[in-house]
This record gives sequence, C-alpha cells and structure tokens, in this order.
Amino acid sequence: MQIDKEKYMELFLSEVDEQLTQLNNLLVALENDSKNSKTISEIFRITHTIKGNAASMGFNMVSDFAHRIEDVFDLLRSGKLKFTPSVANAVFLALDELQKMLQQLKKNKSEPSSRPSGMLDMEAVLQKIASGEEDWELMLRKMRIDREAPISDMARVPMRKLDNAINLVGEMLINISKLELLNLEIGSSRLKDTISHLRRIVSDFQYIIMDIRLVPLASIFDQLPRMARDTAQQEGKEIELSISGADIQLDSRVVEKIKTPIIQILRNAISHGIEPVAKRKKKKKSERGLLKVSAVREKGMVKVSISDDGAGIDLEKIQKTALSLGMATEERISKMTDYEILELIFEPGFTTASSATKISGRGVGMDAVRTELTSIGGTVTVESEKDRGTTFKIFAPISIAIIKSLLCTVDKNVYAFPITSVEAIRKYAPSEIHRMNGENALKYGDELVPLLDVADVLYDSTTDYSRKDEVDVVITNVANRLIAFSVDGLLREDDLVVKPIDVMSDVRTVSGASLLGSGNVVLILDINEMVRKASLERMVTND
Amino acid sequence: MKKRIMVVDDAKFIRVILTDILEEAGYEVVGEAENGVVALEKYPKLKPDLMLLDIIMPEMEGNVVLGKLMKDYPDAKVLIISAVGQRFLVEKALKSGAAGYIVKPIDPANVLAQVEKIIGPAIDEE
Repeated sequence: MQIDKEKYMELFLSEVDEQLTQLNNLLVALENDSKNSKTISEIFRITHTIKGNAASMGFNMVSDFAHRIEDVFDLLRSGKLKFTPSVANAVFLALDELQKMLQQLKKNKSEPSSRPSGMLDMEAVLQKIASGEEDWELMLRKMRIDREAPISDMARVPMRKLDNAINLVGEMLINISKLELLNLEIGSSRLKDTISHLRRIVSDFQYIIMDIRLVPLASIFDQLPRMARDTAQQEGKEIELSISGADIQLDSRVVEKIKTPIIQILRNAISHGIEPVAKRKKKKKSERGLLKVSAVREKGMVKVSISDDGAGIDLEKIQKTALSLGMATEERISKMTDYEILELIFEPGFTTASSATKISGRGVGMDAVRTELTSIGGTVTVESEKDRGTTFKIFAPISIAIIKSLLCTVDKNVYAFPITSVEAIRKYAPSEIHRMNGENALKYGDELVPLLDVADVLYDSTTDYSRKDEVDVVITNVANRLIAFSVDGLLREDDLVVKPIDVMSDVRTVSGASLLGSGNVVLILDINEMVRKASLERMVTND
Repeated sequence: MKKRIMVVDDAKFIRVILTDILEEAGYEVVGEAENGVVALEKYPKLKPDLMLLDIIMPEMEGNVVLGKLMKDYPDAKVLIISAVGQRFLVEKALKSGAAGYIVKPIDPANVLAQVEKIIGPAIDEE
C-alpha cells in the first residue's frame, strides 16, 4: 500500500524546493569554511530527508539520486573525504540535476520512464567520489552541463488569475465612484450609507487580494549566494556576501521586475567592482571583496541596497566615454558635478558594447535597469567613491497593481503623482519663486528646491508664473532628491488601478493610466523621467 | 476516548502524511515537533499515549531524545521512524527502550499495524 501521491504532491514539491535552496546556500557556506562539521551534518540531514520524502512518494529516481549525494556527505562527515573545490562543483551540479528533475515532476506529476542522461552521468560521478575512485574529475569536466542557476517559481497560483481579480476590484472601485457621482444628483442619505459600506467591503477585498500577491524577497535573495559564488569563481575573485531583509514582502509582479536588476548589479559588482586578490592586497584591503545586499521598507517603498568595497566607478572614464559617444559637449561635461557624471551611466546609449568594456562594464544595461524600474514607479541610484566601493540603491513600490495617488489638473487633463514620491503640497505666491541660473526654484523649509511646471515638461511650453495669483506646488522626493512641480490645480488622493497602456509605451514621462468614476482617463506621471526630460532640455538650451 | 499521539519529524511532508494516516484511522494527533528540542519541551505538556520519532533531525537527534525521554518518563512509548539503511541506529533505539520501528518510505498499513501493536486500536472498547 502506498500513500495517495496526488494529495501530497504540492506539499512534497514545495518542501523540496525549500530544501534545495537551503542546500545551495549551505554548500556556499561550506566552501568558505570547508571543515565546518555542523554544516556538513546539516547537508547530510537535508539530503537524507529528501531521500525519505521522495521514497514515500514513490519517486525512486529522486530518492536514489539523493541517496548518492547523501553517501558523499556521509564520507565528508566521517572525515574520510575532503571537501575540495572539485567535490563542491560536483555537488553543485548534482543539485542542478535534482532541480531539473523536480521541474519535470512539477510539469508531469510523475518521473520519466528512464533516467535523464545528465542524471545518469552525475550518479556515476557521485558513486566514483564515494568509492574513492580517481578519474571522476575528468568525467565532470567532460560533462559540460548547463551551468545556469535554476529558477524556482515561487507562485503557486497562476499570476494571471490574481491579475484578473485585482482588475475586477479596480472595476468595482470605479463603479463605486460612479455611484457616488450619481448620488450627488439624487442626494439620498440612505444610498450614501450603502455606497460607503460597499466601498469599505471592496477595499477590504482589495487588501486581501493584494496580500495574496505578496511574496518575500527571499525568492530572489536565496539565489544570490549561489550566483555570486559562480560569478566569483568564473572571474577568479574572492568574495564574501552578506544578505539581509529577505523576509520583506512585495507584490510578486514587483519582485519579478526587480529580480534582473538586482542580479545584474550584483554580477557587475563582482566582475568589475571587486578587485583581484593581488590588487586588493596592494591596497591593504581584505583579500575577500565584501558584498552586501540589504532590503528595508521605507515610506511605502522597498529599498534594496547592493554595495561592494571594490575599486569604485572611474568618473574620468565615464566622462571620456560620454564625450566619445557624443552625449554631451566637452564644455558641458567639464561643468558637471560628480553626481551628474555618475548619472550618465543611466543614459540611453551609454550601454554600447565598446563603451561597456571601456568603463569596465559598469554601464552594461544600466539604462535598461532604470527604465524597467521607473516603469513601475521605482528608480535606481548610485553612489561611488574611488577605492572605497560602490552602492546601488533600488527603490520599488510594494505593489504595482494599485497606486495611491495625488490627482491634479494640468491643462484641463487629470494627472496623478504616485503618493510614494510626494513629500508635501503647498501654495506659493509668484513672488516666492526665484530665478537661479535660468531655472526656477522655491524655498521649502530651509532648502532651495528646483521648480518644474508639469505642463512645461509635458508639452514643451513655458509658464509665466507672474500672471498667476498663486501657484499650486507638489514637492516630490525621489531617492532623497527634492523637486517641486507646479500644477494648475490639486484635486484629491485616490487609489488608482493601473491599466497597462501599450500605445503610450514610448511616452516615458507617463508610467501608466487609470480610469476615474467620471470615466475620465488619468495619466500617472513618472517623476524620474519628468526630471530627466526637463534636465535634458535644459542641457540643450544651455549649450 | 481516542488514543493520543505525538508526531516528531523534521520534514513537514512526513508529519502531514503520518497525521492524516493516524487521524483517518481514528487516532488523535495531539501535537507535532520538527526537532528533538521541541519534542522534549512538548512531551510533558501533551502526555501522549505514543510518540512517533524520527532519528535524523536538527538540534537534537532522535536517539538522544529517546534516551532523555526514557530517563525522565520510563513509561513513555516511542515508535521510531527510520529510513532504509539505518539498521544500526534502529537497533540502538530498540535497546534504549523504543517500543518498535517503522521504515520509510511510509506505508500506511504498516504504520497502523505498528501503532496498534503498541497502544491498541484508536478507541478502546468499553
């Protein structure tokens, strides 16, 4: 008699997923501390558990394969085998094979009729290691197994279904707003009560769905130790990676969006930031390059910092590259602050292959990274100091399906500022607006903040503030930089359900659209892109 | 009164399966533990009629748990869950006072037969 496989399939698979992640991370730890008997026992125990669970499910290939890995660790545990880099490579590859088999199980709900060749080869290698034969290293080299780290899919519910649910919630909210507008004509207090009751229910429902969509950052972070280890090995670098904040939860669509940027930045940090050991010794740094990935929640956003203690980004090289690419004139570049020079790496066109190698690859895809992040209302910033290291900070909203927004009117249209980027709203008299170097600015607290007009940026017009009685201003804060925007009028705060807009995809200043109860379309402003467009125009006029 | 059982295994997968098997047969699973330390903490509070105990676990292994348990509660009844290839560990457990053992992969019929052998059917006939 066997247990009911179907009933326990999900549980089995999700537990093995976790166990494989643990194994990968423990192996990385063991590479740094190869004699740690506690880590070895822990790996032994987990492979043992996989073996037992798989056997109970009747998955004999998985069970036997786990048994082979267990044998290797049994020898390591008793000190009969040494954990050399080659043994580590073999075990990592074995885990990849196991992962592949699990992907198959997920798809087909059963094991294939015969062992896949990769698994057979790997079993032979493991057996040779366990029996003390010598020729397995050659075999391992010949195997040429695809070394890409496996991607584990954390969502157990198809996202499409949750997208549909959240879209319907959006429709409900729009229709509630419609009802409210209608009741303004009718004026029934009983209807008003019912509508506000309905609004509460729908917003509870919205909260529940948003909550289901949350996944912990661990789904990205857990893959980093293995990825970093592989990259460092390829580059011949020594590194130590610390990670924190893996338990912070985000909408799975956001996690999906920030995954590639995080991996790309970390890879760059290892390949180009961290110096080779000899160079680090010369600079009197620790032999191992220190990398830190940490996440914290900050004002409805999540901030992921990726820092290294490497060489830092060479500003002169950026200037030279920008000049050779014709991105700005020599005069303009010579006037740039360090901050502005660093910002050049996010400019489109700074990513051509030749320039990438010239500036040690730091610019690879940085333009694409920022575009990806601003499209969801986030951004990425960089700080770098020569020989001290570089820190990238990724800011992303917790959710992208519904954005709390501040609505305002500009040229009779309704535009929205994402609330996460709004610092304050104020009214200013035209006399309070200063002209500085051909730019407008105003005082906010003790700080002089640059002022842009939304209409000017969007429609390339020029506002004459002196003709107004007072000016409505939204002070925004993006990545700790304050920028003020003047608008024609302020409306209210609202939860906007973001609709994808393909037509507008090349209009970068707008990140999305939504509908209001009145049926009007609202465009959601991309503050970063607004600032960028404005400063680009300024650069042109100044030159 | 239903017979009360506690399930100790580091794999949630195994705990869920065992619980289902036992409860379907009418036993009451009064508690679970994912390692030896938690198991020892919970035992005196739960006072189960039987403990199903895995051997290889984090924090404290099953054989250590068994030793401590038999010392403090000589009447405790423990059924060892082991994987294939652990004959040596099983023999050690039996010598330390385990009432029986089952071997993974889990076979529901065998689990119930072993449990019944130690504490009898799920509900005592009056």
